Amino acid sequence: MSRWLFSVSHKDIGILYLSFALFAGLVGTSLSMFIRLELGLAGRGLLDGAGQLYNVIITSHGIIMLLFMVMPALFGGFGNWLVPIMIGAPDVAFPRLNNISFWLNPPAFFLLILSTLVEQGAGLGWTAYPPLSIQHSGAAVDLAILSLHLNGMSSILGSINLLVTVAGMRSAGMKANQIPLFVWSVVFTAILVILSVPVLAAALVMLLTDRNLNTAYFCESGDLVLYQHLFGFFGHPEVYILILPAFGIVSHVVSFFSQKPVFGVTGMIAAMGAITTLGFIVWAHHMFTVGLDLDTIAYFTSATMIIAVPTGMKIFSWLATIYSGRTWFATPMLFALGFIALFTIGGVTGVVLANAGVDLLVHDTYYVVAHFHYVLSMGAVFGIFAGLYFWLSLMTGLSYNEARGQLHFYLLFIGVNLTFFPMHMLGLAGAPRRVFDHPDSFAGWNALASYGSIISFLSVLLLAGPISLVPQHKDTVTPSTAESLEWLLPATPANHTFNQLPVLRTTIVH
Amino acid sequence: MAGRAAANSLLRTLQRLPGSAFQGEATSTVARSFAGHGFSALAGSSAAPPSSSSAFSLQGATQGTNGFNMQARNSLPLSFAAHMHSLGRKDDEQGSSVTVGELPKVPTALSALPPRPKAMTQARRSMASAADEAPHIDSTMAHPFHILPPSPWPFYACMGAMTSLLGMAGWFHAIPGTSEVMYAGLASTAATALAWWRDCMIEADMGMHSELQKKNLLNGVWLFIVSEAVLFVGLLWSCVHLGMSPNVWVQMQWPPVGIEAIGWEGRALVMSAVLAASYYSANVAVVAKDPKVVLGALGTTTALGALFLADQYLEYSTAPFTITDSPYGSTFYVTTGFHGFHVLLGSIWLAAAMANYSKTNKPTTNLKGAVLYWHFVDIVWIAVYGIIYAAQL
Repeated sequence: MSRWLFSVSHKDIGILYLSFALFAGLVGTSLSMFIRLELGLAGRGLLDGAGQLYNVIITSHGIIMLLFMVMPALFGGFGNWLVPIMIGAPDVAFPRLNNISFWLNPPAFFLLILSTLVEQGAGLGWTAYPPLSIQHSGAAVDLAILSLHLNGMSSILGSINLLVTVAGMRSAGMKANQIPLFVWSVVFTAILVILSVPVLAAALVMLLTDRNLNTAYFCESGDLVLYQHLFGFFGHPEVYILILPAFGIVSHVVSFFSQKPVFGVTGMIAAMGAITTLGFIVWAHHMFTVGLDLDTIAYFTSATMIIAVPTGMKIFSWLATIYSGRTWFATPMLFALGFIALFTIGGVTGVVLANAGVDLLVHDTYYVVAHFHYVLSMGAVFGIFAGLYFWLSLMTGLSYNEARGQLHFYLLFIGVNLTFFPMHMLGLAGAPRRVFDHPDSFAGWNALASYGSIISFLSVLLLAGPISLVPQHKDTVTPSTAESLEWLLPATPANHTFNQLPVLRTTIVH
Repeated sequence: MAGRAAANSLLRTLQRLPGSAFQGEATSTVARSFAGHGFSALAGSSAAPPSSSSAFSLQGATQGTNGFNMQARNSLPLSFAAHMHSLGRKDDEQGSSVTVGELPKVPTALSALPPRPKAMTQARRSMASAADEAPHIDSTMAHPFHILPPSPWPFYACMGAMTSLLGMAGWFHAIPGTSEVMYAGLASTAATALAWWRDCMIEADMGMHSELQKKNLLNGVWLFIVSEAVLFVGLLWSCVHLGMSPNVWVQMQWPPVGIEAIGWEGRALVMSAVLAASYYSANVAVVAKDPKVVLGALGTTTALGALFLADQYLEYSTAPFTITDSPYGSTFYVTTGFHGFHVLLGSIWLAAAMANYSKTNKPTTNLKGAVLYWHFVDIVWIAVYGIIYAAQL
């Protein structure tokens, strides 16, 4: 027990993060199945007309998937496990801090689950916009807000830790452009976390005091838009927090399975830096309908569209990495390719939504739902699966069955596309999100989406299928194209990896 | 020899501990060549530079071509727990067949570095100081980082945090008994923090913190300060936003009609002067060499912090509006309240650093962190003073 509860080893904590993310992911997936089964048919469905219950379910689904599944898996799990190894450090800079960053998560999750059970639950939507969030009765909302506080604290501490680790513990001789791209992605993620999550904390404090201490931030004499500004200043960087580590993972996977170094490493790093910077100055594109003035709208529209440039740089660099490489379509590579294709679709709809004129029409419709599920449910989640299949053997010593892994990929690919692509049509036809029923005119696409969600649910269950639980004592992978330090180690490296530090030596061979 | 047998049995005990570093294999001896694109791992003296198209090589630090016995170094990957006990093992090394040579100032792996002056001198400095200042660090530890034994404090702290937040949610809704739960949670979290910091101090006293580790700790304080600063950005944002566009409910005036706002002159100016003076005295504490001056400066800074809090108490108790009086009251009390809470934390940190300093009379990383944090608290006050008191937002 003390190995896991009191752990100070970055690998154990990384595994804890991944297991926690798996658990939370299953909870979140079940909630999404409730949503889809309710929406599968028009009229009274699974929830029998319980609208508040539906609101509670979508709220929990959102918070759990973003903050308790994707972030712990990508940033906590892979970040913890891989970053120290990739930079040649024996552990993170502050191992005990690392442990508290993980162990703040289960209590936060507990508070969130508890909030769904108290009174009517917190049916706010994950954004918790007032006035609903200050008028909504009960301790449920307070519990959910406090849960977000704990989770945010965990992310901030983890970010401080990983940033200090990369800043101060790289192996001697490792220059900036030799730091692996995954490490760079985690660095930029950590910067985003440190600069954005405290703003959410401030906004949540205002919510709490408005709800309980009679302050007047968001009541009539205050301003509801203030909350949206503060939330957006956190919320937009948050989506890059979710996706950047997946970028890093995809870079590694694409390079490995194309048997080529990543095309344009400096450009990739610069692109992530640009995304990080731009991520902070585009938040009001979530607020085009609140009555911003036209100049503000024009600025936020153009600034938002500029983000497509660095993102496009990354997409094209991945394509250039694959181009003329000896590609090897193993499961991780399939997930990475799926990521590139589907994330691009999500990015393109993002550019559409960035236009304030269009956004006035499709704001809060299923078009937005389709957009962010394409970038997250197929971007971030495909990134997680790519990383999981890629590094599983190294992390756990377990191998996976290639055919079953590919089956998992294809089922998930078909399932998520069937689920989310029809939502574009629904959104353009005007179907509002966060409503538990729909008119008959939307029934067709909704039914298709629900069938698709059943397929992706089956594929998630299949995740257990490919992984063979028998530990492999032989080295399962013999990479010939490894670009980073972790593949120099045997499967399941020792507790603190390096007894003595590796040294990166640059030899110029003519 | 008896001592050596004792050391062996200690090692066996450690191996049985869950999570012990002794269970793993020494991994740095792995050598696997990678054809193709770039990296190769070299281990031992047999490794040759890659002859193909390689551009880089990753060199495991285990090469044995140096003046001292690398074999001995490889055999025992000691963790913190082990060299906590290594003091008792020192005497026995004389009689054992394992001879550990004099610890070199610069590890040999590092001497194989290509000339990259900056990275090299940093590594050199940190390794050398780890060896110089902490003679009890076991000679098998070949890196300057701090490997810790498992610690219960983080887990307990999280349980404490959960208890206090559960209690807080109940307390908000006046559920009987929940305020006690909240206070119990807060107290247990605080107690856990004390135990945690005690561990840190013990480790620091034992010299477990190399120069590099100290630098990491200060970097951590810097980043923590950045995150705190962003919290204040959010709080001050609300002041500016609500103050710049007061709506019709507050007669579109700011401060709202009927609110007697607190001006920049008078007590607020005195509070600024107090913090400005404390900024200076905190600086003296890190610059001065004479321990008496340092202690005096720290005492002055802490006292000025207390004075500021007393001023704030007077301000709150005489202010003609409350936290529920319009958005002005909300932003005023929440923002200045958060600042005051940070002054309190900073004062406590400074007092702890002072108590620590009075034992050793040596400047510590703790002290530097406390002073850094204090500067942050002072600088935030400039923003708070400018926005809330001077600009009346």
